Order: sequence, then C-alpha cells, then structure tokens
Amino acid sequence: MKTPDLPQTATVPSQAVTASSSGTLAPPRALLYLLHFLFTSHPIIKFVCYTGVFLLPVSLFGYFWSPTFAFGMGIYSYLAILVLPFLVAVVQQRILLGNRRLCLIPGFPLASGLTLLVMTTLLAAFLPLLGSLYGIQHLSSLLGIHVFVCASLYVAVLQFCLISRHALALLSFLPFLLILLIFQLSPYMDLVWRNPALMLLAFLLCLAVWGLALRSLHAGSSFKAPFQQTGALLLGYDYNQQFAPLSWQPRHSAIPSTPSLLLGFPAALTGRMLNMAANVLVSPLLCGVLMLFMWNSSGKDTPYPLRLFFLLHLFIVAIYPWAWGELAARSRLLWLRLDTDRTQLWQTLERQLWTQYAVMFSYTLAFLLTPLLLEQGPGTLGWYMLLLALSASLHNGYLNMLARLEHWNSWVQVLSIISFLCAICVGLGYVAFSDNYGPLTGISLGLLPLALWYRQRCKSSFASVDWVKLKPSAYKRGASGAT
Amino acid sequence: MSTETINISKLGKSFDGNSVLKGVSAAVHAGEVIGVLGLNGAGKTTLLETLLGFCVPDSGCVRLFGRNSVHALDTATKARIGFVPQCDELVESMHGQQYLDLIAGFYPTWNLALIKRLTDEWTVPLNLKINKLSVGQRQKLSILAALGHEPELLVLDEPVASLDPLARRQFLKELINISAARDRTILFSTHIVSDLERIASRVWLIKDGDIAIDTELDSIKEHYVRVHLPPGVSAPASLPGLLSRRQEQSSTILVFNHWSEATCTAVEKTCGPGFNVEVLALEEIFLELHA
Repeated sequence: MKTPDLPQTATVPSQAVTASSSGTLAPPRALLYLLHFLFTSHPIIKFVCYTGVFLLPVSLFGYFWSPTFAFGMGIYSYLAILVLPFLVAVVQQRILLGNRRLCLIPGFPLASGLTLLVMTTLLAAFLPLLGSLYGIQHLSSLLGIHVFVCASLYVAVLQFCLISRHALALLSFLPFLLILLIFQLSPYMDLVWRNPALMLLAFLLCLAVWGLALRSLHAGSSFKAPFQQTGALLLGYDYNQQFAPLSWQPRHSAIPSTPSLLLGFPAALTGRMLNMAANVLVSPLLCGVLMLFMWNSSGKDTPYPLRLFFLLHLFIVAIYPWAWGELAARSRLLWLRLDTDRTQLWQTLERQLWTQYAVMFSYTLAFLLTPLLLEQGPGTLGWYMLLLALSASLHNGYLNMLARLEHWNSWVQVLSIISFLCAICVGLGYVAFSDNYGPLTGISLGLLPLALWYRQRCKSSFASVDWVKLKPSAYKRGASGAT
Repeated sequence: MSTETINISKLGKSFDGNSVLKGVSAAVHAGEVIGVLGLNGAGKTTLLETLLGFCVPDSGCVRLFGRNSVHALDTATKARIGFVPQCDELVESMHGQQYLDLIAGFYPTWNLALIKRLTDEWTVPLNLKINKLSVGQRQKLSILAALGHEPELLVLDEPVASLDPLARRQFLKELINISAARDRTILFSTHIVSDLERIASRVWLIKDGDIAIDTELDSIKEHYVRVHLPPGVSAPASLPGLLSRRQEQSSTILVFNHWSEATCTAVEKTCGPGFNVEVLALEEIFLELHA
C-alpha cells in the first residue's frame, strides 16, 4: 500500500455513545427525531400543526365557557395536529425510505415504520380522550379502534399504491374515505367491533399488516427497486421521477420534475384545474366525511352534508394561498429566460397568481350555481363565508409573498398568522353566539384594503428583489452533476 | 490484506438500452484505498451504487464482506458500510445536529469525539437547518454522517467536488488516518487526480463500461510513458506495449502502456537513439488514455 505523503495525526479514541444495542430495535431517541420530522417536514403542515397546538388550550379551557365551541376547537386541533400530519407522514415516510443514505442505516426502516405506528396510535387515542373529557359516550374506545383500523389500512394501501404526484393526491384520500363510509353504512360493523375478542383480533391483524408491509418493502429484490417496480407495474410511471423531490431523486432522474417554473402547477389550464380540484375539493370532502362520521358517532343530528362540505371548501380556499409566497422565489428561474425587466416580471407573476385565484374560485362559483345546491342553499353563513374566503385568500397570498420578499423573521410571520386567526375566530364567534354577522363582514371587508396594501409593498419590494437570499424551497441546494 | 471486502463478478447494467457496465470484475481487499477515475458518464457512480445494492444489475454478482449484496443487504453488512453519495441526500428540514443525532441513534459504535473534532476542524455550523447550509457545508456534513460509525468499508462518490482547498486537504488527511488506523477499505471516485495520487493505493480507470486499468498506483506510473522521437524519425506501425502515436509538428510522439527494458531496446533498435522518455503523471496518463 502506498505510504501517504500527508502528515499523520493521532486518531481519536472511540467513544461509543448510547444507541441501539443491535441495530434491529429502533432507539427511542431516533423515534422522537423521526416523529418531529414527520410533524414539521413541510412548512404548511408545520403551520397548520402550530395553529392546532395554539387552539388546543382553547378546546380544553373553553369547556367551562362554551362546550360546543371548545369541542369544535378540539376537533380542529385533532385535524391540524394529528390528521393532516398523519396523511402527509405516509408520503414523507416513503420519501425517507427512498433516501439511499438512510436506507443503508441498519434498523432505519423499522424505526420509520414504528414512528408511523406511534402516530396512528395517537390518532386513534385522541378522539376517545376528547370524548371522555366532554362526557360523550359514543366517542369511546370503539371509535379509537375504528380509526386505528382505518388508518392502518390507509397506510398499507398507500405504501403499495403510491404512483405519481397527481395520482397521489387522489389516492391518498380515497381509500380512507371509502373505509370510513363502509364503517358508516354497514350495520354489521358495529356488531363486529363491539365484540372484544374481534376487536383484539382486528388490532393484531393491523399489526400484522404493518409488519408485512414493512417486510415486503425492504426484503424484496432490492430496497430501492420495489418503489420503481410498483409504479411501473401499475401505470408505467417511474416512482422516483414523478414523486421524489429533486434533492432526493436518484441521479438518473435528477432532472427537475416540476412541470412548470411557477409553483409546480402545470402550464395547461386543464392541468391546473385538476391540480386545484385535488386540493380544494378532495380535502374538504375528507374533512366533511370525517366530521359527519364523528357527528353520527356522538349521536347528534347530522348537519347538512353539502353545507358542511361547502364551508370546509371555503376554509381550505381561504388558507390555500399561504403557499403563494413561493411564487416570488421561483421567479428567479424566469429572470434569465424572459426578456423582461423586474416590473414586467412582476406583472407576469401576478397574472399567474390571479389565474390560480380564478381557477380556485371557479369551483366555489360552480357550487353556488348548481341547482341542487341552490335548492338546499349554502345558508346565510355560507354567503358570508364566501366573502370571507375571497378576501382572506387574497390577504393571505400577498401577506405570505411580502413575508418572503422582505425576509420577515419567522416570529413576525407567526404573530401575523395568529392575529389573522384571532380576527377570524372573533368574527365567527359573534355569528355562533349572537347571530350577528356584522363583525364577520367587517373583518372580511377590512382584509381587502390590507391585501391591497400588501400588494403595493410586494410590488415595490419586487423591484429590488434579491434572489440570492430569496431561494425557492425546492431549489435551495445546488443540484450536483448527474454522473 | 487477505480478507476480501468486495468481490465484483461480471457485473452488467444498462439504462434504456445503453450499456453502462459491461461485465465488470474486480476484487478489493481489506485495507486498500481504491481511487476510481473515469470520464463523465463512464459509469463510476453506477458501479459504486450497484455494488451497494441500490440497483439490481442485469447480470453478474457482487459480494460485500462475503455476502451477496445484489438483492439485499443484511443489517450486519449495512452497519459496516459508510456511504457518501454524489447528491448528499440530507434531510432538508432538519438541523445539522439533529440529523447527526438521528443517525447516531442507530449505531452503537458512533464515535462522538471524532465527529466533534471534525465538526470543529471543518467548521460545520450544526446549529443551522440543512437547507440553509452552503453546498460545501452540506458536503462536509454528508461526510461526517458517513464517518461517525467508523465503517469498515467507506464508499465515497466524488466527496470533495464542492469542498474548498483547505477542507479538501483536511478531508484527505482524515481519510489517511482512517485507512492507516485499521484495516479499513476506502473506495472513492473523483475527478481531482492529485487527490487520488495522495491517498490511493490502487486505481480503477473506468472506460467503455469496464475497468480498463486496475493496478497499483506506483505500477501504473512506471509502465505508462511518452516517448518523443527526434524530428524526422518515424516509428514502425507496431511496437510492443504501444498504446497510441501522434504527430506533433515534425516529431512523432509514442505513448506506451507497458514500458519495460525490452520495449526501450525495441524502440532504440527501430527508431535509433536520441529519443526522450517522459514519465507521466496520473492526470497525463488519464488524458492519453482518452485522447
């Protein structure tokens, strides 16, 4: 062996730190890190999760003030803290398992699977706990078992069926909805699940499904190939090209999979419509079915399903533009491609933003114009919510863009979000308790000039935007060469 | 150097009909430091990743520590491997320290003192989120994550591409420490030939989907020479060990890949005396091979 010509230094004596004893059992610390990652892996999930945590004390202490309102906040916290992160966690887990470096770590797949199991258990335990807090008998452990079984099946289905970005959005919700509906509709299900022996059997069956899913994912022909094979087998898609983020793609598909330079939306209008439908229709549908399910379980009157769905749709529409701040960052990709100055580029970007806005609200308007809906009517609150959604989405879009353009401190962003949420809560609270729509209307109309003011500031900030600081989330790291 | 760490046998891999690896065979013994050279697209990364089991080869077999790694790597084998991929594949939303802690949690032999020392020496800001780090800082973190458990086999795919000269020198020093301390095997690809000359004991030169040269570093330097014939002197079409020939102005240049006393005598006999023999550096050899 060649003698090295660089100076030698003494090697550091080994100091083993505490870790797993054999590499086959995931250490608790790693589980905690992975749980933290799954809850905060995406900025929007993180934001929604924080709002859930913020509202959790309201749901606990509000019990003494207004049980109904506090219960509603509890349900929102449940959706925000556990349900949404869980839905995304399955996808994130697939990404982690597709990471070649992590795949080489002994015991990592098991730890990743256990993390998801912990999340599922938390998911199943939350509602019975909330039920016992509010003395609702029907929200018992029976519901917990339901949720656990559904979530386990959802994980199993998703782990095997993930194909592409667009299919993912639909696939991730549909099995879950289907299972919930089956449980709702079948009169025999309750009989089955009330039997303790059968419940135990179902629980064990779920654990077995978890184990088998993990085993088949990692003991196949290779721990990378199954992902690719699954996609290719079902629809001819390459899993990695369609699904994995740029930074984690294998080198042979290192070309950005983003179909357009702007926010990853497809350039064609039909593509945008599909993309938006997946976001503003499927999510409210899921939430609506979940809430109906819980309402029935708690023995309360079922609310108007379409009205509930409409309100949830407007809620999603109102918060959706939080992601539009990314638009300003991605405009750096257009700078060298378009023969424009920054003012013209701003106009181009704003056209894109308004197109998205129009596409988004086209669904809302379609609802309002549907004769079926007109028969049932979205209700007075629905009309006011529409006004709120229109102004709030504009406000949120420009606020987020301004925060990115002016590099606001994250605390300033959090404070602005909280103050916005407080205003909305006050407005809705007035409606709930005094049937007074005045404050809600005032807030809705007040958000409009605020949005215009943000827009003006965005426009002036964009004239001197610093793209060295303002980098797109997906492109913060320079991609290495491909060979 | 008796234990065989890697055994590659007739490895073949193609992508979309393009054959990248064409029946590669090689063996690596414990304690060896192998430098992998090759043009862009030659198949260096494919070779390194295939032998770690990241993709299933079309033909052939790879054995790591005596176990077949083509279809799956068992836990015990994984624990003996450290890997630095070309794209760092770090988890963007974590802080550097969180990421290292996460990985440390899986290894009972994690050398905390080593990582702390390297973090200080390489000035890696572990308190920052990974997506806030520069490309070079990410590369350092990526290397740290692969070194912490003191693997017996370290596979590095262009590990120094984004490092500054100081960091590169520090990293090479550390690699020397690692390889000298115990019988650790290092397999690394690079385009910086001078780095390879500093630390590699053996060189693999990948060309046309195969390992064109697999030899000791010193040996390759002895056997590859460039002969400058005097102006007006021409050489016969065939000479023993002749790799290539070209005309530069009025003089002929011959490149030999098996230079020996016998070859020297043959050249002297056919071309006459007065020729110059130029011993080539590794980079020159690389260029001659791809001329």
